Amino acid sequence: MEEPQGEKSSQPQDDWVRFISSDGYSFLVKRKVALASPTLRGMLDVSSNFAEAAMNTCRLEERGIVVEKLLEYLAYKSTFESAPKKEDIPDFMERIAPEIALELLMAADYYDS
Amino acid sequence: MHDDGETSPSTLRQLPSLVALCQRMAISNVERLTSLGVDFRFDLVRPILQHCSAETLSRLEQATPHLAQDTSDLWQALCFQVYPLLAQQQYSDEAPESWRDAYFVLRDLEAERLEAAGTRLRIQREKEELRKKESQIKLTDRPPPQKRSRGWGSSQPKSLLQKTRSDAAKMHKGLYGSPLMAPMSTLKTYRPVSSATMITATPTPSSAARTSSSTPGSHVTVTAVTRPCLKPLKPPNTAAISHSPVKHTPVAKASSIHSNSHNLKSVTSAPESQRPIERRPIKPPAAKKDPMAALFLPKNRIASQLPPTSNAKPRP
Repeated sequence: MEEPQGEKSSQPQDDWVRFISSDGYSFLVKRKVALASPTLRGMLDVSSNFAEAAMNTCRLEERGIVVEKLLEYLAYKSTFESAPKKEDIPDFMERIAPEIALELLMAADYYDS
Repeated sequence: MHDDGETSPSTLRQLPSLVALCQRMAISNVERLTSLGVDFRFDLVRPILQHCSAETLSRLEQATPHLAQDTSDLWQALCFQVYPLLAQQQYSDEAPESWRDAYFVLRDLEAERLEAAGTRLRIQREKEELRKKESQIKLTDRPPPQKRSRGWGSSQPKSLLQKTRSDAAKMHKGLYGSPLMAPMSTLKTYRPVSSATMITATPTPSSAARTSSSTPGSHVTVTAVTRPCLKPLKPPNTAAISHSPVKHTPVAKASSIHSNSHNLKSVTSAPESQRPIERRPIKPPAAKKDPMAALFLPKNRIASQLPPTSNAKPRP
């Protein structure tokens, strides 16, 4: 994964953004993926300019595993939402551990994904 | 719930939202839920709660206090889902104050109903078993009524006379294939006498009476049962039948048995009932049996054992 370049939103959306969870985990995703979530999009664009401008990072209040699954879903969605209808895509539900389902539910709702 | 607006929607597939996926996941594991936390939105968890059982709902309510305010609908749904008939009976007209309590009331009612039904079933089954048992084999102290002569397995060694008597009885039945002749009614009946020799394991007098009275030509129990006035009424039949030959010769026995079996009419007369009590020794009426003696030659006896004509061997 490349280092974020500290680009502003004027950059083409091809760079990586970092999300930091409450317990210190960092996750890097493509900006395009992150923008799939309106909430994240807002955080990247509007929130604390300093943080965003400096490192293209964002702090999230969720636990690491929750953030991870959230971003995973966003990536999954980005990848397959444009796939033709006839193609079989993996079921994301299998990747959700029941133990985190509730927390993920809250997070998903909050981040509107 | 996030719709992608980048490209035209027709080419996009509608992936299930993460919220929906999480809800589905939670629903499939709903029984494992112990608590919902404090900062959830009821709308979010509602689909999950709709799928959980009553126990889980109670548990969650205990864990998250303010959940109870919103769960009235859920309890109502549970009531009708789990106890449809009873709920309709009870609550079709008015809604109870607390659906949660209503649920537990219904549950108790249902348990009562099941209990009552179970008891009913049990009683019926017991009655049925009782009825069946009556026709089953029962253990008794007395030997059962015998329909056929016992030619094997007597527990006491049979005396000669006893053996002859039993053989005669068998012949009478046709076991040896000898032709039966109708017993002559001219033969007199013999008075019953108490005999010291007990013929073992004999059928009860009552049973003998039963068997003999059942069919005219049926075999009457050969062996005598000497019971000291156990059944004053019933023994007379068999006593008359069985006691008398005890002290007689084989010939006498053979013929007397035969005659007695068919002379029940005379035996069952009232005076006969006194006989067993009298305990009179009976003289061997050898003369009376002579006409019939010739018919009862046992086939399996050696010559010396053949019933001598008009010989009486009084038994002690």
